Amino acid sequence: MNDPRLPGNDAFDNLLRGSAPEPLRDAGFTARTMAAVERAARAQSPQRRPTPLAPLAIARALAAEQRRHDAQARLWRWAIAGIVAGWLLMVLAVLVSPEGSVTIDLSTPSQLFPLCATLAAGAIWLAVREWRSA
Amino acid sequence: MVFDESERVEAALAAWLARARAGDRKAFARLVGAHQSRVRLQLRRLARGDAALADDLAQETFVQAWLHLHEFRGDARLATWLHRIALTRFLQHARRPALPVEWRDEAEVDAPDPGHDPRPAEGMSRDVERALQSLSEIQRLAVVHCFHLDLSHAEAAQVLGLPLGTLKSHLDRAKTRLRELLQAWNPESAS
Repeated sequence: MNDPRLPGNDAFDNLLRGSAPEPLRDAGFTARTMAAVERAARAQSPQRRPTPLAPLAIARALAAEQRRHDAQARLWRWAIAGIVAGWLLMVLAVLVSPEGSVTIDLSTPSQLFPLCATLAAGAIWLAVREWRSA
Repeated sequence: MVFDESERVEAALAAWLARARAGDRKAFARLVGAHQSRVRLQLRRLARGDAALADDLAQETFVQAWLHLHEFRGDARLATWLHRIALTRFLQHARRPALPVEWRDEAEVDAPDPGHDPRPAEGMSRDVERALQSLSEIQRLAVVHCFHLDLSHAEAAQVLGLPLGTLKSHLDRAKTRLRELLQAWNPESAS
């Protein structure tokens, strides 16, 4: 036999292979083993079978998931509405102010840095929260 | 297309395996019949000749194999997977205080008589067996898995849970020792 899977192929290796014990006769081993397999399969099957979910439990789980989704969507809607309302209020205050006493002055980009940093921190916080809840 | 005997056997084993994975117990019984000798021989070697213990563990091995057959992905040969389960079962058993296992690094040498007549085959097997007893446990297991159970180096390493290089190192040391002890039988030293 010249099996490439076998380790080595020199004469001493063949001597070692030649000294392997004779194959064992079955002598009822397979029958006894299959009886044990039957017993084990019978004992195991009720445990292995997953408990089926009742339709009511499925409905409750789906409803809870829907509530979580709705709450999240509501949060986002209110957050966006808050930002828009803030801007509108600011613009309105400028427009109705007598003789231009209220102005919006964004003269240098560096003035926007604290706002940008706050927005970035908030965005990261929200992203982390979303990622952890996923 | 012409198939030789070993290819026919492999094809039959693959078919039985596929049917067994689908839940066919008769096909699994065929697989048990095909692999029982190797698994029992491996366990007899591990159990130092205790045939009753080896057969009990072999039976547990096949029961475990049946219960977890859906986890066998086919990356390795079924025989390799079964040998691995068998070794795990043996180690679980041996960890009990009643049967501690010492995987010795060194062992006393009990060399065969160098002056005997190296002709009868039984004598050779007996001398090889005696020489194997002079190896450390891990060296002996490396030799048995590679040469008596016909596993490749990679398969034997997988079964024994050793890195491939470590397995080869144990095997090299074992063969060096066995060459010394079996000089009278070694065809290489005769030439």
